[in-house]
Amino acid sequence: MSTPAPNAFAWLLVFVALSIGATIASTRRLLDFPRDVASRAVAPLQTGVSRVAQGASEVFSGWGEVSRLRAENAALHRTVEELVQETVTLRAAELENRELREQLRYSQDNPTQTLLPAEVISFDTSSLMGTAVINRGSDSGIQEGMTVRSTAGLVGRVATHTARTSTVLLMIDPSSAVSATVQGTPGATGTVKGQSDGRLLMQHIPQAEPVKVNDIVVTSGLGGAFPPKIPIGRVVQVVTRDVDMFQQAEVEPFVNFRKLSKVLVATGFVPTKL
Amino acid sequence: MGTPWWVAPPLLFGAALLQASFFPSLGLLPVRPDLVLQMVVMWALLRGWRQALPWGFVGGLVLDLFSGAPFGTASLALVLVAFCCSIGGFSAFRDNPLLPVVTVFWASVLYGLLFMFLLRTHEVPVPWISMMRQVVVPTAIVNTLLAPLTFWLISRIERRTRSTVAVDW
Repeated sequence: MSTPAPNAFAWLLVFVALSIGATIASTRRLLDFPRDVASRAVAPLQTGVSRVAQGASEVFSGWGEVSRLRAENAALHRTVEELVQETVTLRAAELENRELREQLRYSQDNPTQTLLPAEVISFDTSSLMGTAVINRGSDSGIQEGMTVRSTAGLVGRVATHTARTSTVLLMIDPSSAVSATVQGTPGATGTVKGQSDGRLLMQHIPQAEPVKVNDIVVTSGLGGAFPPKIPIGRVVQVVTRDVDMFQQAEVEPFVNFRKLSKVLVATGFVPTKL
Repeated sequence: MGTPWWVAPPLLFGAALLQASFFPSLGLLPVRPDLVLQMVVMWALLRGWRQALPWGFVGGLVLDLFSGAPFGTASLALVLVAFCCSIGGFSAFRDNPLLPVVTVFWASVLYGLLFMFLLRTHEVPVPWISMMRQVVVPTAIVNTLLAPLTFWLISRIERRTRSTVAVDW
């Protein structure tokens, strides 16, 4: 082992100072313009690389899934027959629902219906952060805090944006917290927090409220950060201890964050800033 | 002996692009390999602190560009890791091919710890134990498995640029 020259430490200090300077400049929004220019230049590249990877991923997954798909196909045939019967019943309910929704001006009361489609073009370079970049920014009307979802359920919220891209803080990030409730049990409210292993934990659920495995967890709308009734996930485990004031539930998200490629931004919903 | 200054940015940018857009979209691994970190570590071992520091800084800035973490977090962590790896590297490295592999593992763990510490200074909640168990160590293992491939690539680039006129710090 050799000892570095004294000026090595001097240069180390220079680079440390430069890094800290970059952080301070970013905090004071002095880097917004260069970052915006960079993101405009880089976004098309990210989109291209991401699409190539998604294509490759589909090929890989296709090889391994043939036998599984055969079994699934047979099971699906049986399910289809059952669903046809159910559809007939649901059609009638749907007609009735449509009529009622118009009466209640559903679209006005539920602004999440204004959804802007976007594509995930990259994820965070570090596995320690649960963020993703989408190919829409303030040019498309996106603002900080807007809700991002997929057809399966809640994805997260817009953390920062440039003109062409936005960084989404995913629900699975440990710094993310979403007010939630268990569907069908209005009193079973709590906070869904991200875990470092990609799962979700619903905390602070009152002990008295019955929560069961397979219950559906949705956003509660409390706090005004997210619109209500967006599906989050399914309860896979409930942890209740007599000594605790609250119970907690492990929730499996409906969204597959490892295969996330298309999302919808709820541009009609402006979150409340507390 | 040095390397033309323009070698690092495109290499590190390409690695960051793969790290941010290619590997996550493939969806094959639960954690993302840190290609930029591996390249910086290899370069630090091969060329010493004079080149490790600018490589770490540029690599970190590129990572910051693609990251949702506060800007400067990755560059500060990577500069420190690059400096640590460059101490005593160079001559011993050439005789011992296992050294870069082992160094990549420990450098990944150190980088993860520094990154989490810096996140904490920005008041981002960090569950240390679970992050270590579920993210930092698995990422370090994936990085270690990929290290021979990165070593092969970086050593080829290093050989090609070795005789070039120096532009060192």
